[in-house]
Amino acid sequence: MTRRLSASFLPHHARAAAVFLFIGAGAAGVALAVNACGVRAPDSHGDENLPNAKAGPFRVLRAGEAPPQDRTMPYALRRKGTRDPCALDIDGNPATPDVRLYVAASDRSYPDGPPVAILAFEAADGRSFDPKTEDATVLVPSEAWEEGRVGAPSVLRVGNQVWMYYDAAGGIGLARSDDGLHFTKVPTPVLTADAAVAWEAGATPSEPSVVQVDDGSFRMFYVAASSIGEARSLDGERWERVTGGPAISPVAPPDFPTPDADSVYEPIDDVRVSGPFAVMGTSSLGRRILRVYYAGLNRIGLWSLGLAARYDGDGVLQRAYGPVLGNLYAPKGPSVVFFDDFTLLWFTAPEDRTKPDSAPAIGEGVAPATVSLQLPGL
Amino acid sequence: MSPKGPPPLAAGALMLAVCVAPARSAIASAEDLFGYGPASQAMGMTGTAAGSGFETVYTNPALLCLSHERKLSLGFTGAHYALYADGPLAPGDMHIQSVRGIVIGATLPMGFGGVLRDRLTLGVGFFTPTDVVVRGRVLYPETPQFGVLGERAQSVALQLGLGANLGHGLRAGGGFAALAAIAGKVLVATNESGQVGTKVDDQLIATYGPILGVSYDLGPDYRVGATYRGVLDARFAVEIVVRDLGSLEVPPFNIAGIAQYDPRQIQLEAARVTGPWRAAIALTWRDWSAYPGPPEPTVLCPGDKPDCAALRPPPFNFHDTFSPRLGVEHVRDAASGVALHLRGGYAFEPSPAPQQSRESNFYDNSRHVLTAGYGLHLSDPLPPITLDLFTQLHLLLPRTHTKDADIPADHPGAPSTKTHGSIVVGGLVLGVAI
Amino acid sequence: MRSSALAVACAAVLIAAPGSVRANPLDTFGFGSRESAMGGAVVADTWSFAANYYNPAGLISAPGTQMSVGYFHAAQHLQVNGLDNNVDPVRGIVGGLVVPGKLLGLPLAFGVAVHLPDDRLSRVHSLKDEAPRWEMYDNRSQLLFIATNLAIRPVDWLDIGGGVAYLAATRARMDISGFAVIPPGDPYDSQLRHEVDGDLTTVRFPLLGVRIHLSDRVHIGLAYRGESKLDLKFSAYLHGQVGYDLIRVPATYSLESHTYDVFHPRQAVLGATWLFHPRARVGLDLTWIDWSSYERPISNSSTRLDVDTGGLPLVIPPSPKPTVAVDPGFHDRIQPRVGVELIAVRCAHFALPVRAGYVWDPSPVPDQVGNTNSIDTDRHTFSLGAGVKLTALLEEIPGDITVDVHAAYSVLPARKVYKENPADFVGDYEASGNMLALGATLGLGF
Repeated sequence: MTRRLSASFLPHHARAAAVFLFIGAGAAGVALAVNACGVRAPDSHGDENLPNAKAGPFRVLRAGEAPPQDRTMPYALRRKGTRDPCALDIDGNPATPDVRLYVAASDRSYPDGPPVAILAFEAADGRSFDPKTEDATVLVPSEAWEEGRVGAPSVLRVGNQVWMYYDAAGGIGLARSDDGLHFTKVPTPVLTADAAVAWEAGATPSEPSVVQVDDGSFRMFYVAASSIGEARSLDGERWERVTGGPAISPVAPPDFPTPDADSVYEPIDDVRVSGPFAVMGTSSLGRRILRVYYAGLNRIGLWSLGLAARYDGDGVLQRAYGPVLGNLYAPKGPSVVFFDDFTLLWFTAPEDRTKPDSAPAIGEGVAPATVSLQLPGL
Repeated sequence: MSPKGPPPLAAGALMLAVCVAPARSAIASAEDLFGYGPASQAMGMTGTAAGSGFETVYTNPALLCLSHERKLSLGFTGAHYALYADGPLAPGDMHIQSVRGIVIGATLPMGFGGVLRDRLTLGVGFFTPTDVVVRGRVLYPETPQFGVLGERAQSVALQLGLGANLGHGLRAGGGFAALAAIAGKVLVATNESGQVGTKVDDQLIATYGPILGVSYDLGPDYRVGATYRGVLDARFAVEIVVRDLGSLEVPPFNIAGIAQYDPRQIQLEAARVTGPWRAAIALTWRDWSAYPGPPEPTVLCPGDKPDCAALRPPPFNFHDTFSPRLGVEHVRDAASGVALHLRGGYAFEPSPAPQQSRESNFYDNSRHVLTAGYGLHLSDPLPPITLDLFTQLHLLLPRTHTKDADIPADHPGAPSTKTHGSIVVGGLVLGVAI
Repeated sequence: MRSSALAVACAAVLIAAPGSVRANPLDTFGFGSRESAMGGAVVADTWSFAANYYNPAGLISAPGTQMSVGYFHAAQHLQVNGLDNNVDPVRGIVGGLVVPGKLLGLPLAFGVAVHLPDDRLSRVHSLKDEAPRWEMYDNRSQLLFIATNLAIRPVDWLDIGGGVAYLAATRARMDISGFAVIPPGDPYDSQLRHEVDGDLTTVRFPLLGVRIHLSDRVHIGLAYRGESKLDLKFSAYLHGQVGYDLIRVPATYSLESHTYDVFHPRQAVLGATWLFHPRARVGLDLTWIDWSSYERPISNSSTRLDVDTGGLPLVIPPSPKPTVAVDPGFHDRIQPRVGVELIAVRCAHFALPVRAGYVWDPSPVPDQVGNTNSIDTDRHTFSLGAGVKLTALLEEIPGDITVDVHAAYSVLPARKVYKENPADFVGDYEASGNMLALGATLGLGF
């Protein structure tokens, strides 16, 4: 025998009213809930902490990301005649972006002329360089083979010392320092022209970039003719060129997605490559990577920054599918330092960006492009 | 802030996408223009007191509870436009696209027992144009356009309602209508490769408008009803943000406008609902004065500068309207289980738009609406099938829009434009009780 | 009489009611608490509003008119390299109707079902081809689902159902003209106006289902869901001048963007249910998914910016070449589902079913060793649920009141991606995650 619940204790009308109210409230509640659905267009998420090697592409710094607030961006060091930056993480701690920036500088009365000194500027945040820093000179020409000029510093920490490679008229030189500010030169160049190397066409090697790989040996990337070559050394002084041709030559990158003239990517370096910067890194899954940033000139006459890399210390370098910094600021001579949350890039850029032939200055960028850098002091 | 007209058309200062070519814009739904449901549409768009079946989900949800059988309805509706704007700088034939769509409806008496037996009915009503869900055209104000008529009918109708018989001749019901709108964002910025990159994000959101209704039986033969419909609007809005684009520094662009708009409205109706001759008389008030017009400013003033000099669209100055309606129906039992319904009606739809004497050419005309229809209803011992047909003829009262003297002679619509035309609507719906 | 009724019913289906759409949030998280608790292994064993999704043929087995409403929330904790990507949750109202009846003596049923997201109805992203994204879970779950179906039973052992899918795609053209003030002027003094010409267009595609009753205890189900995708065609054209004070230079910007997003490949489901005990049943479904037809949500776009600087100190970035999509190379998959239901307690007015289920969802995405970065892993989902069914409890509700709840936990085991190119900007990564979906459904039967 079935039994149902019944509110027969209520008067009929009261019960009817109560039931109607209950059903009505329920229907109204459902209607209100439905009417509240699908009506918003909130910002989308799901793009936080997505994988990024932080190796590029870079965006240039924006106004407000470096003091003073009226600084014209993306210049990190707007001092005419400075070029070929090389940054050194002062304390070697990727959690702190304190950087010493070494740059080649021309005579201030002739900023378009060849570099005649290497200067050093410091910033605790990697951005607040003061172009009026006094006593910034760390290296000047003193050897006959330098013929009165020094430039293109490449600075690295070796043990407790700071080593600086540089180029001059006669080749590539080396200077060592205990504090990174006072250097003692090796009297003779460590790498000079070699007529036996056909692709170098007798050119004097220049624009060095040296990195120490995991086995303690050294790799140097240098410019000769229109390409970038590679040399190895066990001690950093005696160098042996890697045979088999240049490490990076002006060849159009692998086109994406189709390797033909209608590729969606403009070739960035099919005329000339220069300004290599080598750095070791580690992938998120622990693979060691040697990255070489460089400047490329294309057939249209525009400079961009590119990237080539390989796993471990030796082997063929593979290009990235696109530039790490586009041609808007005609960038050259890159230098990169990896920090925990971002990577900073410094590069040579025309001091007047509307005039590509104007005297050089130092620009700065950051990767990933989505990172927002707080104004120092906030 | 007084609105500004478009800046002077100095050489090179402006380029207009459309000059005098005809254009189509739409701001509201088919049911607001033509009514909903074959019986209502045949009877002068009445139905607040006289309605029955799935169409009462729009005309008056309270009357859903008159349906005591589960019934599915499927049909077609179409509208053909012949609208004209004649003048030296007017397009002539406006070439408004015809509307074709499917009508779907259902009534579902809820099988409660006890005091709720035969008291509650759920209703569903759809109208889906064959190719669009919503058509949104927010055109430059000087572009000649039939803004109110135009292609308002190119819009889906999704309606859901519940009607309750409260007893003692009183019925109440409620529901809602739904539309879709666009909210998007476009980011134009220098990408990592130093080139102009664009990122598009588009979201579809819902908008709802409530429908509430009551009816009261004045004896066995007469009934009065009232329906309230809230605003139902669909806004197309895309924000274009330009950032890091070299030297170009521009504010965000608010590319937005109201694509579809049904104003708030109240319809009151009295009807005779029994006997071989049935009739309904109704009056509909529409709150058109609340309509802000389709276009919005392209540049919105920031909070700290509310009176910036950014351009404002011209005001629309619509006014409220009152629309009288009349419907008549003759019901005859042709045979056992066969009932014939002959219907007719009239409505007058005044225009809410003022004369277009300034730069805008947002045309609209008052309309005489003549309606007719026929229904064949089969019942036991025959299969429970109904077939209803209707037709409407909308005759636009000719109207002349004369531009003010300071409007340039080469402005679209100058020196005057006469608008006229007609709209023919028709459809049929097949219903089956299951 | 039956054949004519059948013809009428088939005509109704073909003319169709908007039908059910095979929508991703339901693929991922299920639809209806009973069905979700059983791992979705219900193609042969569903009769509630959820049959509008799983197999419309099942509508015919509804014991009476049913109305259901519910809510579910699914939290997605997806990580790359140990960091949460903050993928939006999926949540919203679910509900529907089933109305069985007869037409000219032929049993038929009509069903309506909806999943209405809390936030937007749908979302389309245009992304660069190489941009990393959780391909299956980031955006494809943000989608409205609306369905109506018809089902008939032409003979006692055969149920047939079907409908037509219904989605809305966007097509928009925008035109902006006037004078844009740039610094040192005030950009908010710009004299700009715009017009919009947009449509939300209708997209339709079919859903079909069949169920065969081999006996009182064994049922076979077969369902087919058509392919669907949201199409965004967007064009913008800005033309006029830029400058300040009396300086004005011509400028034009044009954008053409065509994006397919929320792509759902077609799929076919074959399943069986066995009532191995009067109070217990088990279901097994196999779903074939045509992932090889998948189109990635990237934007095929072209952009052009032209400013005649005329000697002004303006720096304008160059315009890129049009982007082109690459075949993602996804693989078809077979997805097994199993579910059980046990009526733990049953008496005259009360029943307490308990349910459990499992789904293995193998990833169709190939190893992303190249430029593309569609992040995805396999997914194992374990579900549990229970319900309460009250029969003829109140005089006002002579039918059933049911309350079903469910919980589903998904594990996405770690998947490592090793890039072939060491210069890749995304680099190696490891993806993993978990999901937790909770839901409840209230039903009234008459």
